[in-house]
Amino acid sequence: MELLDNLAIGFAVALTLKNIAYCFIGVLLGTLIGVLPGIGPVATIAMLLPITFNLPPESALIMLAGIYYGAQYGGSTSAILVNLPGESSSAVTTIDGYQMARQGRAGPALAIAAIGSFFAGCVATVLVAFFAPQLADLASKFAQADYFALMVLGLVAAVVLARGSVLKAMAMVLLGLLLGLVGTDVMDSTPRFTFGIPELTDGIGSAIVAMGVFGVAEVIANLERRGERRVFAAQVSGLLPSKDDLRRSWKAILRGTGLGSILGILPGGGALLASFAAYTLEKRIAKEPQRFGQGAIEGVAAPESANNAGAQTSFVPLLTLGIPTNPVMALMFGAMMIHGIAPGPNVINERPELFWGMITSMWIGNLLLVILNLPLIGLWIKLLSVPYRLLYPAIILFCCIGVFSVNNSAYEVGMLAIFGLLGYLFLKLGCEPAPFLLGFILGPMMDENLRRALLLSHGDFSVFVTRPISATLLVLSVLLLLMTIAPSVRRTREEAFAE
Amino acid sequence: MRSKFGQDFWAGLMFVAFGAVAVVIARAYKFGTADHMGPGYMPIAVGGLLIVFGLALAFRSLARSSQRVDALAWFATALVLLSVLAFAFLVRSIGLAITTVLLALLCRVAGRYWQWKESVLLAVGLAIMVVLIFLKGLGMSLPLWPGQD
Repeated sequence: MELLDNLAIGFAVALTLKNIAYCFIGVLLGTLIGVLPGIGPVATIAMLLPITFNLPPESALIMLAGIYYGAQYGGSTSAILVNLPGESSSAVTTIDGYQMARQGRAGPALAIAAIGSFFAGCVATVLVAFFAPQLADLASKFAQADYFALMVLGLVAAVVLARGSVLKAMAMVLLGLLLGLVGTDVMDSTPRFTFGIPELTDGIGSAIVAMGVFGVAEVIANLERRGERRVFAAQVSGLLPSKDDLRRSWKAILRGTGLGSILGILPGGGALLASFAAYTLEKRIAKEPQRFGQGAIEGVAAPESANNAGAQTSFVPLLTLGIPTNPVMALMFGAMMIHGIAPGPNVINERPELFWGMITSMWIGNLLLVILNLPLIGLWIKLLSVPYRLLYPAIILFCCIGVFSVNNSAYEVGMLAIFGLLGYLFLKLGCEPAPFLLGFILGPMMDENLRRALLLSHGDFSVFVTRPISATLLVLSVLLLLMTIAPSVRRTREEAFAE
Repeated sequence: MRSKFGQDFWAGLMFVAFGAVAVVIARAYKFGTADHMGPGYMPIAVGGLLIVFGLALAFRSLARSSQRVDALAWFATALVLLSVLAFAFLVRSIGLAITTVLLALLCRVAGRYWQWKESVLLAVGLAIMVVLIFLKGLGMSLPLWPGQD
């Protein structure tokens, strides 16, 4: 079995004492920061990025992946206990999770979230291990035109998933593409939009944009709201779910895992889409849909399993095609580049120990999460009760230090302020930042692939429709876009986001 | 609350502004042809599309109105950004310790939290923490005190 051999290579890397320790630190720190309300995985990873710079690449990626699911799980904890999702993919968990907490059943809700996540993590790890090599083989058949088409599909998916107006989300993608082009042109080294500033010739770092838009801007918006939160700390007594809870949940966990794994692989997918879809599905097929919104445990089990499965399978397009499909993967992409690894189909062949080490560490990370979270729940609750007025200066500080440490550049910290302002404007104008960030990351790659494709085809645009892979992807993009604009889908989409 | 000059209107203008600036600047870059696209091709194409989308958004808002823009929190925005800029401009010259204290105090003012004892304790606590983690622990190349760069 090749799969087993591969997993063995991975475990040999991931099970070294050093890497288990980094995985553990990652999961712990990720949960620690992720549990703080208003800080999602993107901001958490961006803030913690600098501490991985000095590590060897395998350890750094293992730790970053650990930070990611830690943050994800931390987000669910705050969703259940304070009705404040740390991140958008836990947003649906607040609906029933918080109701359960209000009924004094926060313990079972947290436990089911942990069990569901663990199960989903195990399944997703095997799926990634199984499908990634095949996808990498397929990726070797990809030409520039196909890459371009795939990125178009990713951006269209990001538009479809954004809340609110499709037109606005498309404009946000374009704005992201445009800002992504800042820097030296890869094809003929012309500096573009650099205004003669030397620091801009390498482009704007994705961590700066992410921390500005998701970190600094969020702080300003939260200061404006200043609402009081109530933590259901006292009510967390029994952790163990009852027999009835388990009976109701296990199918939801299975369905959530399946749905999440598939949706995670799609461009633009990942944890967010997975959790929304899983919740909607559970509600649709439930015998008593009226229980949803009143503390139905399936409403916690399904989206929590789905978002963890989706989080993990969203590594597949990054590791095999070199295309980040959501903002978190965009940051992982940046982190890999910093360590001198170009994400893409070659990683799996040229750095098998890195690739498989990361995959197997996902499983270890999930195991650590369960071991860590159930006993430490009391600590997380304490953290949740830290008032925001003590928290936000630390968030701003970590963003500044985080940005500074990427290139030891004070100039880039100044840029952070600009992107903080821009992010705040986005919030005020109802513009979703996620499509923007994805466009930003994909901008230069799209430019390069478009130009290379047309160079090879001698300027013939039909190359995008005559190549089967590219044609399929573009047709999918068009269909997806048409479906979103179609009135009936538009209504369900609005309903889904209104929930 | 909806208004003709709502979120979509101003968002539209923002997109038009970005698009227009991009197109104006990118005209200086070589545009090229389809088989040899120059560095100006993509910026002008994307900038142009952005102008079109921005105009569409703005006109749609004028026609069927869009959600009103809430008042901006000028004070909080200005002070949070100021604290970030202070870090950017000062950290190399006056060192991480004092910069951190300054940043934390500015942030507290941004949120209009005037309990000064709590602010000072928080600022000093954060300074000790980041110095221990980032300077001592991770060996970041930043001065601790003024004049050490």
